Amino acid sequence: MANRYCGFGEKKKIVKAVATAIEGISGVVFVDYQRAYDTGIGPEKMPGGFVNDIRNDREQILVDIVKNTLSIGVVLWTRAAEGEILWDKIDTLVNAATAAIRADPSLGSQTYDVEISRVESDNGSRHPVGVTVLILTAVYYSEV
Amino acid sequence: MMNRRDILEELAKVVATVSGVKTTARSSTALDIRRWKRSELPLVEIVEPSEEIESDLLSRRSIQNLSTSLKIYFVEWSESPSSAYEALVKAIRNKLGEEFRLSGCTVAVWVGEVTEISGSMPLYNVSLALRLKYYLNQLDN
Repeated sequence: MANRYCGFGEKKKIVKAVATAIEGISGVVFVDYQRAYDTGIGPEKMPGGFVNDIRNDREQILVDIVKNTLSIGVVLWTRAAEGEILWDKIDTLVNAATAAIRADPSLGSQTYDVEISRVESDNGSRHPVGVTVLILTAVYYSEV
Repeated sequence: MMNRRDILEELAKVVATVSGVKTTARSSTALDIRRWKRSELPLVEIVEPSEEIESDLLSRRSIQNLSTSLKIYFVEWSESPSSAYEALVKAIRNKLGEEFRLSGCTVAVWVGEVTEISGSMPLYNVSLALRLKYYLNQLDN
């Protein structure tokens, strides 16, 4: 197992690093922050993603060391063209996002650990558009 | 004559002179380490001791045993703490070996068990059990 990053991190940089990882997925054309699908999302922005800061649980270790457990929601959407299977498209996108995040669990030397704690997909009601959410749990340390 | 208060004060003074120790703190209940800054660590907590009579002597005198522990808190940004804490434990043990009379407050100080490291990155702790022996005169004011 690779060594984990042991040091301080910043929430802003962590969220940005997740967005950068999603932007790096082949075919992704649009990434934004703190939004919910589907406001302003047309076919030209597919596949795409939002990176949402959902919740931060803080544990005081010392006066100047705080352990943060940050939940980040990554909302991804894609569209199946004629003859394509939507489930396949969603699955491919989820796998690509998982691989992108696992490629650097320190998220640019900011987090001690990141795990993908939940993946949820819609029930197909938007077909041919499919939406899926990855919930990431990132542990990082901060001074305040 | 020897007494418990002077012993614990002297123990704190001696431990504070160990190179690498930044803070010593006596605790009568569990110390809340969250109230300290990382610049104040390594911190040595002197846990309130238990006490028992070893021998009753004549004229309301006795040999007493104090049992306490030194809990050493330290910060290390690693999942596997380096040997730095071992050096500190050794330095404390050596210092107490040199100053086992605690400026005449005790007859002897023994370092007993050293626990395994507890805690998780970046805050760890390790404890040293101490036994201190002294003469108590119950007629002393």
